Amino acid sequence: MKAQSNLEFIIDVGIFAISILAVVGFIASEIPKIHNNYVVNYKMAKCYQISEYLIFKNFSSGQAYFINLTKVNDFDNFCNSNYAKLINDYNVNGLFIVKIENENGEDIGNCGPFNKLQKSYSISRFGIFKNETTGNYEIAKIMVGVY
Amino acid sequence: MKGFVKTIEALMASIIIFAVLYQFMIPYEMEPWRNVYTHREMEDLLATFSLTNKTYNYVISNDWNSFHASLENLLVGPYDFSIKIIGLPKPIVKVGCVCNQENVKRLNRTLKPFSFDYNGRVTEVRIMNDTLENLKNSDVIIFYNQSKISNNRETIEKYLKRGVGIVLISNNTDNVGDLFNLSSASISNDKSHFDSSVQSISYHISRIFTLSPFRVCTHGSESEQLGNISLQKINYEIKTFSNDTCHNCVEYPIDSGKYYKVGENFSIPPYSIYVDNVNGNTSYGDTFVDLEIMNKTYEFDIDGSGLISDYPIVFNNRNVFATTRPYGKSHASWIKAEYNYSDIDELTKAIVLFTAGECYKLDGNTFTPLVPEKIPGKEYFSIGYFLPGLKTLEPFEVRIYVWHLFV
Repeated sequence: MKAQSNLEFIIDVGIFAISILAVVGFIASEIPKIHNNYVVNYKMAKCYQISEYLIFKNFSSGQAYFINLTKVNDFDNFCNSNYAKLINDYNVNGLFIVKIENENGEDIGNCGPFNKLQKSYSISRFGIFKNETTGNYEIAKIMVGVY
Repeated sequence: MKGFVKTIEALMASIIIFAVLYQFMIPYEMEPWRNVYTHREMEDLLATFSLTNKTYNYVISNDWNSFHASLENLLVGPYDFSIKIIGLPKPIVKVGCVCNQENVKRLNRTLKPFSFDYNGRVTEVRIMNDTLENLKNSDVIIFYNQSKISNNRETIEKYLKRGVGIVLISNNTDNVGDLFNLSSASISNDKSHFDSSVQSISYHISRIFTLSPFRVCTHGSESEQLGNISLQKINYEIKTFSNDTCHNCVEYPIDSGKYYKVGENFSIPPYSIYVDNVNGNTSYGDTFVDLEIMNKTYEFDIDGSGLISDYPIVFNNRNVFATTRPYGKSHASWIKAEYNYSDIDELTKAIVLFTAGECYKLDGNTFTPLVPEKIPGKEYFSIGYFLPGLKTLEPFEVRIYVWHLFV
């Protein structure tokens, strides 16, 4: 007689099982979202961080927003032979891309697989450079992506 | 009974677990990053455009189309924007006048020159004499008779709320009501002056005062013409001429041999006078000289009685000669009397320009909203950048309003 289960016990077990299944299902469905949020936030923040560093430190000619084309060329050359080191230096978990154009869309500098720029998380920033041919100051568009 | 209570307990525990789990749900949010990026891009664009003088050139030449095209060319994403300029008079100031022919003549004399250089940019004043109903698209409307204000109070209030300024030039303070918050005051002979605290409206009008010229007409022979500047009720004679020695020049004091070209300053102690424009050649029409008093601390020798106000423009220790009052989207201003003096002409012009508004949309559509009334997502943001003026470094602000087209 002791081994027999009453109705209340069966209902309790049922509620417990449903609760556990719901909790497991909930966690299973939330983890990818949380991971995706983390990836998006990481890549977006990284783009922003790298773009700030490039414009105001690495390429800077000393005055805010003014970039030095010699420094851009040096970065370009260094990137061609030491891309892996740059990824390590910038602490990027993945690939990063830098593409610099003038106002007419002509290339001034490139770093990384820039054909993947459209598919990556990217930010566009703007700086000023001196066109040595005309002597005029022009606007440069600096696109930084993390793939 | 005991088993039933346990079932209730289990149900309550489940509900609590679900309620707690709900707090751990993390919504997927891309929106803040996109807004941060667009905000940053616009800040960069405004800064780079300003540092390369592009913004300045577009604003000075009122070239909205080129400004829009240049920004659109560089801006990433489906955004649209409009641009507001704060701290400069409108490029074309439409001055309406509900007045008779005599009033129009006086207004013409007071506001001349109609086209002048303000802070490096050409500003044009256009006078339209019409009925109040036909002047709804003016920037400012001038009245010489306060009964026209009290008789059309509702219409004027509607205009003020739309952004049309009102200026009354009259000695009589009766029947104005509370529109200008006026009351009479005792007579005083103290000299009137601007309030020099930066927060006051008076300070900003003194800035316009030093940048907008008054005209002195000169008359005489082909070789030289004479005219009068009247400052603090005192007349000073000046001479205009144009010859091989000096092309279109002004001489002060006359017959002193001291002459000045456009862009130069001369002194009528203790004040400094800037030469804005001269025609000393009778073959080019009427001869004249356009001058600007350069001192923000200028003192007016005028009767300051008649008004007490919270927002005085020019006042002595007790009484107010000219006042303004914010109303709706604009200002209502009152100048107590009209005198035929050069300094009062320059002051009146400054008050009219201020009341017409120092804020405008660069595309010229004054009465259309800066941001569309039905924006997708109902969200927009704005970023401002201060630029120094060309002539006196008086800054003005360029503010850009950005919204997403397809949110």
